[in-house]
Amino acid sequence: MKLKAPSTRGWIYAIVAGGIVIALPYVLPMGDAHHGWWDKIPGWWVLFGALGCLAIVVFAKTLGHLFLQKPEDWYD
Amino acid sequence: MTERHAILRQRWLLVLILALPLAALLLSADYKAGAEDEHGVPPTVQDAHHEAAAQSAHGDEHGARAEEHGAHGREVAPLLTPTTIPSGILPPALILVLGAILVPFVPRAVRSFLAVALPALTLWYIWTQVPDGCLVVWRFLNYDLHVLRADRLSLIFGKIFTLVGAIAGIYAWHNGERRQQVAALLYNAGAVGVTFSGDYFTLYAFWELMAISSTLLIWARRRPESARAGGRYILVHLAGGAVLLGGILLQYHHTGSFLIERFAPGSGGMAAICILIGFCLNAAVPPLGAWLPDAYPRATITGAIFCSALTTKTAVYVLLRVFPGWEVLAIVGSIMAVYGVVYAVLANDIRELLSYHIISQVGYMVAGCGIGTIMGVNGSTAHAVCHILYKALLFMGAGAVIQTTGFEKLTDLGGFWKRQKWVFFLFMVGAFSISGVPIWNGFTSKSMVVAGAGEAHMTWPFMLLSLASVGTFLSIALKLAYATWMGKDRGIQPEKAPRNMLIAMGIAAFLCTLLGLKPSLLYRDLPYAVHWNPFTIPHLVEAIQILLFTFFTFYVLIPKFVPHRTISIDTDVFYRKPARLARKVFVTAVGAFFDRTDVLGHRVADRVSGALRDPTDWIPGWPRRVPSDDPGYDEDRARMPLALPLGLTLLALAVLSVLLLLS
Amino acid sequence: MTVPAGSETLAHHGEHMASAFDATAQSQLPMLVLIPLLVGLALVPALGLLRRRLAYPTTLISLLAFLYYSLRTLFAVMAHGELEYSLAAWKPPIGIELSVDMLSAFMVSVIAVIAVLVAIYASVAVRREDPEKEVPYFATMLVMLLGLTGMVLTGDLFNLYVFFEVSALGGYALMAIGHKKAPVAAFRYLIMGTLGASLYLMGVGYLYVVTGSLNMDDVAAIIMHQSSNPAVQVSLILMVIGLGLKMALFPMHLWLPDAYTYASSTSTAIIAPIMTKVSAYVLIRMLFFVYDTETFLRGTPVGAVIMWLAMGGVIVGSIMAIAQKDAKRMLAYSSVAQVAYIGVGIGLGTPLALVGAMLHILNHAIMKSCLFLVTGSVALQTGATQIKDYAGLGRKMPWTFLGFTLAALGMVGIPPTNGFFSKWYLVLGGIREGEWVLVVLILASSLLTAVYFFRVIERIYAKVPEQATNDASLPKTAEAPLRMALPVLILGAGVLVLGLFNAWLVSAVIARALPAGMHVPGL
Repeated sequence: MKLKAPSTRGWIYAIVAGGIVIALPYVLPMGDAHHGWWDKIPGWWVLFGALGCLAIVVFAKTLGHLFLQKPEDWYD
Repeated sequence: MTERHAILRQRWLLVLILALPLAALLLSADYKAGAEDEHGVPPTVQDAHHEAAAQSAHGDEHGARAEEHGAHGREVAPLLTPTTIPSGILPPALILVLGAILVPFVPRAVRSFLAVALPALTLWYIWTQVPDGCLVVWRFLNYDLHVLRADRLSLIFGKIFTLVGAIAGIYAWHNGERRQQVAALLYNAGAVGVTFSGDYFTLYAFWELMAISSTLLIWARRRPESARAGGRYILVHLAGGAVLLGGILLQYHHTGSFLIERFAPGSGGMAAICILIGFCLNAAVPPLGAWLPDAYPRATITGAIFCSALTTKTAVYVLLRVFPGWEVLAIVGSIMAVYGVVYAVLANDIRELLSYHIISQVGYMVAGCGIGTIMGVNGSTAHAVCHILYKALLFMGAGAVIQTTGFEKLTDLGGFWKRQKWVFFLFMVGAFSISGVPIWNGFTSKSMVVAGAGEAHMTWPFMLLSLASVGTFLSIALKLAYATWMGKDRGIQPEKAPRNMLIAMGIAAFLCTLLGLKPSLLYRDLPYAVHWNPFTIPHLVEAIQILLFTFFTFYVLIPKFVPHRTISIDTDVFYRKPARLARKVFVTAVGAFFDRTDVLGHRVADRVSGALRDPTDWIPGWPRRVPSDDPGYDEDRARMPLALPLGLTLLALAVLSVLLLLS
Repeated sequence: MTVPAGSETLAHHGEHMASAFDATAQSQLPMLVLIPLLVGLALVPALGLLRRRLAYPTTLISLLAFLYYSLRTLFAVMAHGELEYSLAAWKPPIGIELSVDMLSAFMVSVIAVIAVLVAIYASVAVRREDPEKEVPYFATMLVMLLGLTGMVLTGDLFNLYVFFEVSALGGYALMAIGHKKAPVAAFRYLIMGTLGASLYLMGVGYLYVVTGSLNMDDVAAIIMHQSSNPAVQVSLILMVIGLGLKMALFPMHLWLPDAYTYASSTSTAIIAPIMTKVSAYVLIRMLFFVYDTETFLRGTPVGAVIMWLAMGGVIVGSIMAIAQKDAKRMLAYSSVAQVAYIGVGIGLGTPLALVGAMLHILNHAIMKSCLFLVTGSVALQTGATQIKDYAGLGRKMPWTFLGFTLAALGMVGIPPTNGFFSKWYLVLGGIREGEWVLVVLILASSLLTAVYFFRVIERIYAKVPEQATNDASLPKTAEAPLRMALPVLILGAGVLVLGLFNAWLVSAVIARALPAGMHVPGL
């Protein structure tokens, strides 16, 4: 995973957007949210989005390399 | 600047993700956060049930005197018991069947018109002429067939099936091939027929009609792999149909009735299991669902729209009708949702990726059915309706790409979004819908199922379904869109997409947006009253957080998303790879065995007859004759000696005699 | 005929006679059904010698008369019950009588309808395939039909054997008209068929020894109480095997594939739907009307043996059909499997199963004749006999293959075709008796049938047609001429119509064809 540094403008956009989004729950009136153990974890959905994406990709790729992916003419 | 930067240059993407939810909040003014309004008309359920169910739907406490309990103490949604109004109206499916018979005989322009008008007519018919609670009974032999039984659940499914039939008809306007048009209309008829059927016999007849007509849509592509895929498809579906028929007959044997009735979770014995398997096969539940990504990418461009909308959702409908609250479905559905997404990440063919997404989204519906509460059933239904719309839109976009560029695989595509802006934008509407981006209808429906899981305190489904949402956004809006239109420009020059395709896509996109902004239009028709508001601040915040950070992670991982020329093996490996072996064992070997016994029998007969030809040969010392010309092994004489069938006959005679005379 | 020792006295005979014979109506209709065939049989060779082209119209006229009288008989039986006609006014059990009940009337109508349609088809096909043999073709066809009809109508056991051999004679001759290998196939069928008929005759002989009578009703009354008599048992065995052989019941079916494949298409089209079915009819007649069902079919292993052999036939037939490359051979093995369904119904012996078996007699006759007519059309129009050469023909011969597709859907058993309903009754019968193997087998065999039929359908619709051959003997246009395509379409439409009107058919005709004392539950 190589992180090629985007331009400065790109970084600023990303950080600002990310920051706003992370801060949203604390700024807006959240009212009656779900009950669940996850509400106690700060930034839960942020992590869920990021780590979930990562998990899916890793899981899929691993399975793919292990045995799922085959050359196109494997059935013929 | 690298290609990844190119994404960031599309600032509009970021703007969408951030600003639109806020815009949604502002625009959908009737939905202040936490409003308690009731949406829509209450169903015709006894009020006591309604009250009790309404209370638990808020998730506050669960009544002690609830009807049926799943393991989590959740209360399965009450039966929709319409007051049956006996009626003599024509079942709507027959409008489509009669039209399908008429279609081959009219000129081409009229045919295309009919392909749109007939479903539209049926839609109007269902909307205005079929009242809730209607029941039409036809007598057949000594059975009463409930050929039309309408309640809120079947009405909404009937409406969306015909609506998508009309939209797909517009999409297919340019395709004048008689066979496809007839097949599509019959397919639509089958789906509507199953939806409104009240007894298993009618259901089975329409079920098989759907299987056969959809196979024609696959074969109509006329490529070798489509021919084979279609063959596998029809066999798998007939096998599922056979299991279903077995279950139906068992049910008839136990209860003496063919009427479609709900099975309480876990009850029903073998009959229920067989019927469940039959339904789940059509719903593409793994491990029975490998036919879907095998066949759908190989269907015709216009036919795939029908396929994506009809078979699986009909199965969802019958699951909701017969098996709500079966916990196994909640578990299986959640796994299915992630299963589809995992395969989609690996897929290389556009429509195969979308097909795996069908599996994933149907997983939501199956899980909603398994949850079985009012919210679960409502959510499942709402999701079905919305999914039909945006899946059709996505398949239409993919079909447009295939038609205009000639490429189907992601390894061949990329970098031409500027040259195909309309298709791209309309596709992205579909992609955002399926991802559950607020403003579009995925948000208003998917979250209902997930919230239903949450309120029923089913943690694993809740988590898995949410995870699948992440994956959906990832693989369609991000991966697919990126790999198809953005990314490295391979210099593809797409043709102009036919106007009817764009119109159809536009209509679907419009409906997706409409139902996303004003979901009461949808909620009003759901089977049970909806006490739920998607546009609450917590929901929106969740959605934004998930989406944005998935996007960030995707961006970081873009190099991992280079498509490869591979296929992924699915559970159909169990019957595809062994197929050749099975053919050898069951067919070639059997034939060879018969041939060898033939030859053996011939040799025996030959020797015996040779020995008997001249008994003097046996006597040693007798002067021998000059051996006559041996004609050798004459194929025509020796192909199958009569000795064999005669011998078998005598053998059968002997066996039967022994059995009979000694008994 | 002397009354053998050990059998009932003549006085008892008289009592049995009276009780068995008073309920029926005397009518000339049964004979009127046979007469057109006899007359046609005489006229066709005579007129044909004068002018070859007269053979077909004569045949058609006699067959149409035959059809007319068959239908009249059917409606008469529906209205009045069983009809009888004593030949030369000699009363049974001494004289030979034609006794037509609902089952016979039903069978005769089936034979007549198929005969007319195939004759229309044959008028074009035979002239194209083998013009010199036109007169013998129609003549032997009439011989065969005469024999088959006689078998169905007669009420006398030995008379049945006579007609059996008449039909076989016609059948062998008809089969020998054709292909180079046809005479060989016909010869082998001759041997096997004679064996079968001989076994039947031996069975009749044993029955005669025991009962002193050859009349079916009479014999039935006498042996009802004789289940432990070894002679009766032996006769049962001989008859079952003999008829099973003619019916191509596994494992005695081996004559069928070659016979059907090498006979000409038009011969097969008339032989395949009817010959084996009439043998099945005789088996039903024996097992349900002559031998008391409870004692003989269900009380001994005979029913179970027939059922299990038939189930074997279903599987073997279907699997072998999948392995075939030649279209007609595939259909031949398919016939083995389908006739085995009838055998399953007979073996199971319950009212529902028997209804399924009888319904399948009709359904399979319709479907198989349609399919064989199609292969004939294809062979004549394009020269293709192997399945792989059927590629893309769906476009060239749309009407013919529409009929084919309908018949194929019926064979697989897709509602609302007629094939679905016969399997439905068989499966219901199996469930009722708790024979789960049967249920699974029938459902599984539908799948196997789908394999070999959809393979063909896929070829004709999904593949691109091969380049046209430049064979000058083949006609220029693709679709078969009207007189060949129309019977195919009528039969294909029949598949759907009979399925949709299956309710009427079962309740008005078939349920009333069951032996007295058997009632279908619920009807």
